[in-house]
Amino acid sequence: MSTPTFTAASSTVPGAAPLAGLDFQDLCRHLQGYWAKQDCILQLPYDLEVGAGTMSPETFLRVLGRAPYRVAYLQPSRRPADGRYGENPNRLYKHIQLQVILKPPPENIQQLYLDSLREIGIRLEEHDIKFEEDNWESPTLGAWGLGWQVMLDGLEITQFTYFQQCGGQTLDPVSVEITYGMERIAAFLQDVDSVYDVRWNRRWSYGDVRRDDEVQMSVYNFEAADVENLWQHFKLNEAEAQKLLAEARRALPEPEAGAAAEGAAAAGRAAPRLPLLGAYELCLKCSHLFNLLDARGAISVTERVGIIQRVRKLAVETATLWLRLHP
Amino acid sequence: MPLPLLLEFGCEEIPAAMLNALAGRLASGLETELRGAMLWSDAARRSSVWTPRRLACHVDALLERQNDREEEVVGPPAKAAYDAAGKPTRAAEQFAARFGLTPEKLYRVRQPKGEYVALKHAIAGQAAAELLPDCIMRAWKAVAAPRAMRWDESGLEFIRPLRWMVALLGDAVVPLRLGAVEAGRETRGHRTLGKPAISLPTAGWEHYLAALKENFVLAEPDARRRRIEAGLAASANGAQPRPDAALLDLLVNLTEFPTVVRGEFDAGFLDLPAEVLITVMRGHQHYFALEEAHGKLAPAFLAVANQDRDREGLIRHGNERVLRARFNDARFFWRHDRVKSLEARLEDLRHISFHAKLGNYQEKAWRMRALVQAIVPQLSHAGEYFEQVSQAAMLAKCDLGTDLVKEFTELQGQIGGLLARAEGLPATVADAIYEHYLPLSSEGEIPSTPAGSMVALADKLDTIVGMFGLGEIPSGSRDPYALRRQANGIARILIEHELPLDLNAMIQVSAQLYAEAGYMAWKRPKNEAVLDFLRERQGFIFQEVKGYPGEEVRAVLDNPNAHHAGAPWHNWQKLRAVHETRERYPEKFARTAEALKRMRNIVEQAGGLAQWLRPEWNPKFFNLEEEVQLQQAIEPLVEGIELAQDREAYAEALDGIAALAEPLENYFQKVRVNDPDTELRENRLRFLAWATTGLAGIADLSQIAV
Repeated sequence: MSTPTFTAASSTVPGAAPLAGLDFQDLCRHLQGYWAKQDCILQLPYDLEVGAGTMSPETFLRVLGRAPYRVAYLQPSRRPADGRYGENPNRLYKHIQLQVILKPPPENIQQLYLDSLREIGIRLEEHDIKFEEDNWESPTLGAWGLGWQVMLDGLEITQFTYFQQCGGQTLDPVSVEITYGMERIAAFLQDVDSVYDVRWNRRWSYGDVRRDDEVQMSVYNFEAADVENLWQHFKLNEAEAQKLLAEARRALPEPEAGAAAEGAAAAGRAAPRLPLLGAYELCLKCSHLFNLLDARGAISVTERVGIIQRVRKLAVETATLWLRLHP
Repeated sequence: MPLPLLLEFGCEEIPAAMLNALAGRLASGLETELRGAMLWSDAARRSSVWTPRRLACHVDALLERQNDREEEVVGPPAKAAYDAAGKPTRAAEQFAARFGLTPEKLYRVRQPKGEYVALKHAIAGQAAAELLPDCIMRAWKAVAAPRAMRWDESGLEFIRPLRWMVALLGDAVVPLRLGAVEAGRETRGHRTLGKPAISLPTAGWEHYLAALKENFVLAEPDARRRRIEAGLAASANGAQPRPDAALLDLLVNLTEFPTVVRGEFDAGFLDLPAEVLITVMRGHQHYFALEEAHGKLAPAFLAVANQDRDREGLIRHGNERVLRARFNDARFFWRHDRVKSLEARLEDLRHISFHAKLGNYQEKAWRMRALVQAIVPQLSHAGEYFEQVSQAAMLAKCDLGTDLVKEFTELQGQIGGLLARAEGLPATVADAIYEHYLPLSSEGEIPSTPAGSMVALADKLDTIVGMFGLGEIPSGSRDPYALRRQANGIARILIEHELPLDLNAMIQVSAQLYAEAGYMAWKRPKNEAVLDFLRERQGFIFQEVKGYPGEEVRAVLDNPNAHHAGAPWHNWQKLRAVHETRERYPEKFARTAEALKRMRNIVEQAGGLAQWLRPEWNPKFFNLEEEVQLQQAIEPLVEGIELAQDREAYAEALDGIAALAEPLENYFQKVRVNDPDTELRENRLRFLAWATTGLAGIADLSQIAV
């Protein structure tokens, strides 16, 4: 890391115009502040490895059921196979998303989103904004939605999705999920070509903060991770999740068609101690282990489908039972 | 007085690919509803426009109210309406009273079930304003979208959220509600450049279009298209934008006010294969690539922004930045992929599944190699490229493991070819790999080289035989493995490259390879089943792509007695010969076809061809001159047909057949096939069966008879 200096333009970012655009951390703060003003709970990143902000229970579980919810959180998202040893200026093993969930979505949701861009200094009249069809589906989570990728001067900066299903459950009401790619937006605002040249704050760059992670974790993900151990972890986590879910299922019988709401509510009151969240965390660990095994090239195409099915089964089962507790 | 109707459904961005169809269905559905509601005037004309954020329709002259009309209503049976004395009954009175009439107004009508009474009932036309809400609602609901969504508690479904609605009849709002949206007179301009609310005083179409234009929305797709085309021409700067109709269509539907923005990139990127550069620009970024006069790429691109202009050059700058990043990625992949040779990648193919039940791509590569090695020796000059075709077949799928193909799937094959060239493999091999996925559509380009054609044939046939063995046979709209496209490709390659290969033999080799591999789920398909499928696709190519008349195509393909029936090239030659002969002697040809049909029918009615082919006819039973004459005319023809192998010979033989009109007609005039003498009758049937079969060696002309 370079010697700290206290001039405005960091010496670690050669050629960057001093303080052009927001620093990475200011960008995060501004967007969070904006969504806080829209009544969003500002949550913390989930403290487990996830592949996307969607997998945090703050999205996966909170979009289920009738209760309204609004939340925004940064989520470091790990995709082991995307690592490039810190050498590729645009690809990261771990990138940071800002995830916003609005349930139900307000009528002016698109405008709210566009105003958030103004909030971070983008004068929309001077740029080209397009909402291009991009329908999202996660086979592992049993989730899908319709929406767009938002393009800003040809750069994809956001995924905007109306969730229709999650954990195999049809959502009512639907939620809107807005996922900002923070590194891309920061690089755009600061007009730099490499993510590692993004100013994190006025003294340190993204590269200073994160390049070593990228190198070391690429080595781990692609070369060092012990495949045999990963399989063992996967099986242990899966088995434990299955056990928890089987117990929960016994405690939460399927409600009778007529007395659905009442029965479920009663079950919910009676069973707050069911560790469904524990089962879901084990499911998340399985999902991450699957991604690691994939990066190690340890999963054949045929096996792949089967393993996605296994993780999906845990996710769907959790969602089904969760909905009985929180109709 | 007729009134104009204006409807605008304002949505969040509708997917570009669906817009045209949705707008078309909405406009035609609305017309149907309005006609059904008797509001459509004879002079009425409808218009329809769309942008990503709106679907709009206009009808210029709608009846303000339905015309008054008289309707006949049928009541009770006459028997129940009048008593024995002919006086109206209570039933008749009640029926008339329901319409405010007395029984004198009733009259008798005949119905299929008997005699009834009826009356004429005057109906006052209803006002359009009352009828329109239902019409509009039904027209909207009929615009079913394949993948609809919900977005709010109303439960309304559409392809994207509906956010506003304009419904004006003349100057009045049509009271209407869809989900949470109430119809009004306010439209919206361009998201960032226009006013968020524009009030429309009337349903006037010109005014609507002008108001939107003032607010940076070109509602007419053609206006946006013209603006893009003009922009492309003005920004090309001496170079030529690569023509790309699909990209243009997409951009017309992605923008409300399109503006072409020219950007540039570092000429150093031109070291990358042009295919990769173009795919990045076109597929990912929706840019038009630019070509210099000599066909080389220029280091520049044309983007289309949804803006009126690029005020500060920020849009250009941003797009250049994104493209630079994408090109850097591509360069990284291109370098990285070249580290490992294609041959070394053969091992990686073991991990890439071809089909869950049919093994991996390495196994497919071996089968393709074995298949080309069985095919190539049948061709002339085979020795010249046997080795190279084998190598190409073996390596054709090796690019599936590269980063470039993972990133740009549409470049599969091409990437393999480029890598082969870069590692110094012979051009024959590289080109064959490059083009072996062709053709990509029924009229798309086919492989240009013999080696590429061989690999393409082997790849496609292997897939078809594999899938048929799993029972995955295309039916109706179900064709998940695009087997029809592949079969079309096989037919076109063989036809257009003049390769007289017999598919029957190829299918056998391919099936044998699968049988040896021993896949559990794979059951050897009947050769005939695969052949029938390939024949049906030849028919499609001949009729739909090449434009030959259906009866001629059937005469050639629907003809089990034909020689070389398994070789598409021969079928093609025969078809052209039939067509040419028929054009040359239209009159004689028709007469011959008629007589041949008669001949075939006689044999069919007497039990069918198979029954009469053995034992053969014997000339000693001929007792009429016409019989002998016909025999003498046909015998040399059948011999010629047996020997024919190319189009000239086919045409010559068919010439002869056309000349048969006269002897055939004489024969049927004088000869009674069903002679009471059994021996004579049977000999005649044997003769006709033989002639029918022999003459159909090229084409079954009886199918052409009207």
